[in-house]
Amino acid sequence: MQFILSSIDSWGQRLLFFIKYILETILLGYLAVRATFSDKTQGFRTIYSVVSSQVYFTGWQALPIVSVLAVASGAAIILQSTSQMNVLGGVEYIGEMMMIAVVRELSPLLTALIVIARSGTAVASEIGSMKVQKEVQALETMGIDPLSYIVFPRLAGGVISVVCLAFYYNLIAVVGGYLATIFFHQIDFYYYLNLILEAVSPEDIFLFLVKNIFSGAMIFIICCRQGLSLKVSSFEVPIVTTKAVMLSTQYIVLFHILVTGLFYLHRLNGLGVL
Amino acid sequence: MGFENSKLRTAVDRISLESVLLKDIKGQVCLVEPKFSFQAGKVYQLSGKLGFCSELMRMLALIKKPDEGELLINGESVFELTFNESIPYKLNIGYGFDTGGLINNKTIFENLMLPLEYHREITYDEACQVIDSYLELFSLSEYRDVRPALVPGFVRKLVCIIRSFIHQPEILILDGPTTAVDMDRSAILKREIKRQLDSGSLKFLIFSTSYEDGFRLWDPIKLSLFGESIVENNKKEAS
Repeated sequence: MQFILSSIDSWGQRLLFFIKYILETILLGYLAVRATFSDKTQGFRTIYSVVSSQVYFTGWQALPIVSVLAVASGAAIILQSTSQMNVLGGVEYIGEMMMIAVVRELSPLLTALIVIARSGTAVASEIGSMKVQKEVQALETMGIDPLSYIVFPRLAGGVISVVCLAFYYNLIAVVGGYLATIFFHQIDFYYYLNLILEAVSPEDIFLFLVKNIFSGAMIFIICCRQGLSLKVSSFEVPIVTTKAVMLSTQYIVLFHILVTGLFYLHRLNGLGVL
Repeated sequence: MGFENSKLRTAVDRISLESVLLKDIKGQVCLVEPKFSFQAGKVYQLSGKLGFCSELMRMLALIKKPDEGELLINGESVFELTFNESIPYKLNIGYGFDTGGLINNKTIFENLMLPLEYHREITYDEACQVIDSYLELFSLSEYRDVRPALVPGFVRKLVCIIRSFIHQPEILILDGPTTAVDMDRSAILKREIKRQLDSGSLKFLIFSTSYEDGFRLWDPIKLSLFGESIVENNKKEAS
């Protein structure tokens, strides 16, 4: 009995920590945005340069790896789906398959995971090092709010990068899928493109934007928060970096599952099933 | 330059401590001060137990809140202000400490430019002029476009100090201003700060040093911190 009660207590505490962490992270994001736009003394030029650097490092430099993953996933989806559909009929549903598998699910998730691995770690360790070397303290003494100089540019640059990267992922996955059809099924390019375009709906675009904007925001706010939480010494830098990666991954995956679940509940509701 | 015309700052007339209890990160009591005022136009040299002076200076630079009590500037409790509300005071405070927290991915020039460019109290061209004149004064021009990791320690230290007074604050707080700096450049630094004191642009100068009599040029009032209230050594010697 004691064991059951302590297990419930333990899970309850984890759930409370989870909710508290989400709320505090959202609050940090809000404070960063508010600090940036309410600070009348600041020069946007300095913040703009940090945003553009972030977009370059997070977005532009990730293009090669995103291209590889996108081609591979697009080709795999098309190969698997067309090989089954050729037998059963329904090749015209290729577009739907690409939408469902790639645009709605794979591209937001895999893009987020790539960004966490590449940029999330870099941001957390960079900000952690800044904290250790008292650069954050120096900014405060100069009247520069760390939230507007450090957090906001990374948040803005991160959101822009993730959305653009995910869009790029979709384009390359479509190309990858077509390359697979050339070698194995000889589907006409315009027919293939038409199937893809016909499958795009406003809901897909909405889902795409919600997932990617949230992913970009959460990754960078969590990583900035972990970096800024460093207290004592440089030995904590790898600890906060690892924690940033783990927490970002958990929250992104859970959010994606939640959004997908809600989307399909809404669909079922619309069909009158629920 | 345009700092005296800046509308972003609030002029500072009085700095006082009221019922302040200050502890360091280990929980050790650094200061218990019922009432103390820093006088405009005076220079204060802090000494005492290792680390205690730094904690007081961090509080005066508005980056560490006292555990109890208030820091009043112009009669206003500054730690009750939001970050934005405290900016008019922060723009009038310069704080040089340790290795100063130079931003590692910026060059020496960009580090000195950061506060000037961010707050835009003067134009970019004026800022460049100010920075280049100080680099020339301290013979640091060759390090202008070099990152902090690649410059000698004394250069990093000097740049931190220069960054603290480059925007002509009315309050200047320096933690070990001449540590690791050679004698020639130390002398230039002391003369430059003396010039700012004499011109009236610098009203409050508070510094700590391990060189007891190395700062006679500034004619400082000596204060001691040993975990209790601030002791003015000049008064103690006189009594």
